[in-house]
Amino acid sequence: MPKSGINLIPGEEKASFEVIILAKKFKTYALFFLIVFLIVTFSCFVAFLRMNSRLKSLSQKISQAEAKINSYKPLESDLVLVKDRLVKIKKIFSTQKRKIEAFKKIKEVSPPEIVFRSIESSSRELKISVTSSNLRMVKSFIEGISTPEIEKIFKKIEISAVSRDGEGNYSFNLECIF
Amino acid sequence: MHFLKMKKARIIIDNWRLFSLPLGIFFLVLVLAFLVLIPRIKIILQLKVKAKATEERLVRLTAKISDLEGLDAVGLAEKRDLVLKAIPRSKEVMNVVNLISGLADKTQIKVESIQVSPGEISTESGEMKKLEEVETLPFHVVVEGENEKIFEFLELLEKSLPLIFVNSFKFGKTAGVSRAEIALESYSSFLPKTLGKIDSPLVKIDDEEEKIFKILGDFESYSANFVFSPSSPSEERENPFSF
Repeated sequence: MPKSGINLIPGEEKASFEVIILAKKFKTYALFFLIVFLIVTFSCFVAFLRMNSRLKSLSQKISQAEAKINSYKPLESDLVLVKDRLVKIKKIFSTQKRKIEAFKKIKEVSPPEIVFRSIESSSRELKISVTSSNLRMVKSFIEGISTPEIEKIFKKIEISAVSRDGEGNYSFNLECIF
Repeated sequence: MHFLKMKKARIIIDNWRLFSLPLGIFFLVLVLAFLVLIPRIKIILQLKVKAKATEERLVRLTAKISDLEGLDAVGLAEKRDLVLKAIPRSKEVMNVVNLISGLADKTQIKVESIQVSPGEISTESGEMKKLEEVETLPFHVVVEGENEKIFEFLELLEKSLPLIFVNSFKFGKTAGVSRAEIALESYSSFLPKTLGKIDSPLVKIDDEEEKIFKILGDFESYSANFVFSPSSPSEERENPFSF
């Protein structure tokens, strides 16, 4: 009975056999590597072609869109101009106080006996010298300018230099700050 | 022992040809990968980024086209004319002078004097400063008449196109006649430089700005009706050279 595990192949032949097996394995890996490489290369090529054609079609669409937008250029220019002017008008409206309108409101709430002796306005304030023949009208005037409608227009309303002349007329200065 | 080693080495060298093909394949694949595949992949990635950017641009342009198609051309032209009347592109000195004298006639007051310093009258082609800003055109007007009429005149002025605002005023009486010194200003502005750029998003007019059209709708444009004439009734004065 031969003992198991007895090596019958001569030493040098065994080495050659192992090398051949290793070489075969190596060859298989190399072929697999090559196939993978070819597949990746082919995929890249296809992806490149697809990407190129996609870019081409996108460029065409962009050109068409640009041409269409260009055909609307006068309309867009009008819109840009309108927007520009509206922004500027808004700015002017917000900085400029409507002094005439403000004075008109004061006049509306004033009793008919109230006389405005002088009116002066600078960019930020409205100064009015007021005269009245009786105190009741002065009170009515002050009540009139103390309404929320008037207070909304001005930041500050001040009455100063209240006096009474020899004829019994009351006069005072009204200073309204915008 | 040495002999055995030599023999083994000889066997390996003899079998080298078995490894040459797979090694050659590995080497070739590696070289091709570095020289061809990796640069190609880089190009593809770049193309992908470019395609994405182009796609996004297309989406923006398509949205802009649909916005443009939704615009009312006739209504927009009317709005353009209205805002250009409010703030013209150049300092319209004579237009405002005509307006002042015309409104003075209408309200039956007398224009004592109109002073204006237009300053630099820029042209579209010239070098322009403060492109984004509004140029103001200040006027100093002295009028005579009844207080009520003067206020009516100022009210009409502030409700006229081009936009005119009363900066300051001073009422007084000289020889029993009411007199008012008024500082006014009108505005002008150049046309915006960003007209019609393809890629710029379409501007939107918000609700607050839409309200301005309503406000401007109540304003009157008299410029076409009034023509300044020094011999108009309100401007009539005694001739200082006649006795």
